[in-house]
Amino acid sequence: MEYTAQTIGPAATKLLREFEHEVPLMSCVIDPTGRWCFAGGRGRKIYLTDINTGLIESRHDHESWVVTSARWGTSDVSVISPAPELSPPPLPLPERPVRRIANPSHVVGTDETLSMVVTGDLVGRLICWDTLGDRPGVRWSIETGHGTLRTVAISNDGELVATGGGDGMVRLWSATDGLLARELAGHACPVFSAAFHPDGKHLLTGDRGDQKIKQWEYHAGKELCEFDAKDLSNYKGGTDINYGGVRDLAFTPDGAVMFCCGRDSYGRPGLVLQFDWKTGDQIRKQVSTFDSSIFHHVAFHPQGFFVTAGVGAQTGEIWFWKPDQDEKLASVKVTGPAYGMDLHPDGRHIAVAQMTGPRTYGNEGVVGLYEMPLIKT
Amino acid sequence: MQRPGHDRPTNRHLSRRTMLQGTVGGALGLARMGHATLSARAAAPASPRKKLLLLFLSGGASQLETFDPKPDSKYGGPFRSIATSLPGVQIGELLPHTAKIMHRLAVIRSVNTGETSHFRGHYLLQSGRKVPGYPVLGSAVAKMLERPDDLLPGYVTMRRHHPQAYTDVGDAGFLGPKYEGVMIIDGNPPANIARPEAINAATASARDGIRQRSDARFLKGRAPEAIKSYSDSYRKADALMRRQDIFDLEQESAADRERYGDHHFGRNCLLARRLLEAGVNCVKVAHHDWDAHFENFHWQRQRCLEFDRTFVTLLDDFQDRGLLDETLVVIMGEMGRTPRINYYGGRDHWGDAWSMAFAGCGIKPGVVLGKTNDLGTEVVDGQVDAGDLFNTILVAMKLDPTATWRLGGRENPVADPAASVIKEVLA
Repeated sequence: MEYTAQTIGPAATKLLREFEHEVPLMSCVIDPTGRWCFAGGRGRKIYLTDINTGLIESRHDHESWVVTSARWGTSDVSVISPAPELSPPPLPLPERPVRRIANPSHVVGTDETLSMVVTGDLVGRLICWDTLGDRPGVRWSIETGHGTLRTVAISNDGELVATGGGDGMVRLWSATDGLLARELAGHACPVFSAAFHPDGKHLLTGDRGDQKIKQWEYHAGKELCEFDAKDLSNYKGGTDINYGGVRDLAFTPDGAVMFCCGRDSYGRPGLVLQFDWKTGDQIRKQVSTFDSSIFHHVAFHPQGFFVTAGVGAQTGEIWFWKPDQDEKLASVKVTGPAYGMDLHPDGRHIAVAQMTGPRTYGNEGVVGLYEMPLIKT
Repeated sequence: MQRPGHDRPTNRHLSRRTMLQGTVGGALGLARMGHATLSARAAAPASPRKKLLLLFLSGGASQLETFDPKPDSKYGGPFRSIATSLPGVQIGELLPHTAKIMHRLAVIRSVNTGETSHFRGHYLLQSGRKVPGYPVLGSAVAKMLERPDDLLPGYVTMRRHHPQAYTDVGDAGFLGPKYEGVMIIDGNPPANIARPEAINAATASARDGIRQRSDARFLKGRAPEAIKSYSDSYRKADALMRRQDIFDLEQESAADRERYGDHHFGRNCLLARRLLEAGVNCVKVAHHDWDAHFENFHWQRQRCLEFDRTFVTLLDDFQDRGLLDETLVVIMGEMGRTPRINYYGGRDHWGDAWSMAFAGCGIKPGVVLGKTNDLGTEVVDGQVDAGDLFNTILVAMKLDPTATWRLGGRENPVADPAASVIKEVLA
């Protein structure tokens, strides 16, 4: 059967398999080839899972908890889609190419085939991985030197890596060698989220405190304007310490709509805000019924829906939304609090990094691989 | 619940009326209860008197991110430990400046109070008692160091404006409102303590004379302690009225203000130094927001970096100005935080195994006392409790912990007789 962009059914999303980890997980990303899932969390290891075999290799390249990651690849990277069953021995690339639906993180125009992942940790170590070949290798590894990293993003042309973290600065690094290219000052508190606009000119960053999202013309190093995300909970001090801030940012592929996510307020559900890119106006507020939750991730699917994942009261859920509907398309309860999420480049799978274990204090983790089934048309 | 208008700027100041309400009104109330006849057996020690600076990490700092890191353990957290100026001793990497002066500190890694309530913890750690009604450290020290010619309040406590700042519990207890801490909120001087321009000095003096005569007349046939408390409070309010300059941090150079840090804690520490230099015997500075049930590591980093630089600046200044020989600096909170990390990346309340530190007078520098197990969940060596800490602080200040308060004809020990002095940290 030939499928089209209209044949994925997120409402019937189901768990395909879970990869158990020895530590609670806080981030995950699937590399552009679709074969490797990079996951990290408590502890100093990063875990590289071969999605088709289930083999997990732990690496000691990081120095602290790996809490953020991003991927980028050229459009000619062959994508391997997860098989229905685990299939040892490892499948060589690109033996099982599938037709990709689309992936905003892949662009045309580079002579060299590239597939990379960037991971960042809580003491400032930033690592760029090359994922072509038998197994991922470190392309470069740097100590960013400014403390906690909270977010990384890769520019659409694959030239720059943006980071944000505890010192409130946004920094741009050369994706080629990890050299510092530019610093963008303006946030008054830690930077939680970053995303490059599809136009290739602008970077958006959100922080912890003032519910503002900054728009940067990053080549010129200029802050252009702010989006007012006041419907997101901010991060209060004192006895009001709680989750807050702009947790993640995403765009529609044409860049016309920006999404940001977080929580409504303490004890309230997670939510997503949509902004019109041209006017800067908030055009929709979609509030979940996921009790006492916060959405940590939002990603737009090329089929026209978007996905959020988050953490509730010791629980985790994935939510599917249509941009023009207040009500959800579907939601799926996952095993534990979902701190990390990534769409597989085949467009049909979602990886969710979770914490699991005893009530209240999770000491283990899983990456759940969820499948959005095809619907016959 | 926050009262309407409570966050208005005018309400963030402590007015003279508010201060007097807090002291005098309470004094009269206490007098009615018959508590105002209390006295301490121990007289103020021969000069020079020691001073106390309590840096209170309100909400409960994480011992694992500060003085007792376990970076390779299951519960260790994301941060590394770093070497210190004490060979073989490491602390959390979030305290890089403190690491360089560890040879000047005495650190206790084995505090076990078993208390996980903010309010009970505040009282317990500052009074050394579980039974309510005893004075907290600042009030007890203010009483024990008191001299008849003291002008300024013996105890000043500084915090941020917040309806639940966790810092205002206990206080003077049965010592009465005379020894309550004078509250400085958001570093602002008590508002309205200046003589109004419309009232000249002679008129003010005449009014005070009327007040004194009125007091004397009222005193006849009444409990004298209540009136004395009233008079003392008024006298100290008047002294503060004349010393507004203490609160003017603009008198410090911009470089000095920058060294302390442009935040509440930095400004309050600078103000604390000025108050101690001016003659206040005990100052408590609260450093807030350590209660990180959510995203502990993000928040501990923020708190630690702010605390670290300011604390070391303060200690260096004390040393340079000769204050450190006469001032005991205590770093404590009401509890520690759970080694286990909850689903929100937070650490919860933990009283069974946590850390604190001392510097300054009476302290043996370069000491690290006590040990916790590999996970940091239990004390395995050198366990101390709140009573021990209270005793030890008094001894470090050359005060007698075996002295008694006379209350209703009974002698009540100043410090819990069942507690011990922690000799290992004393000079």
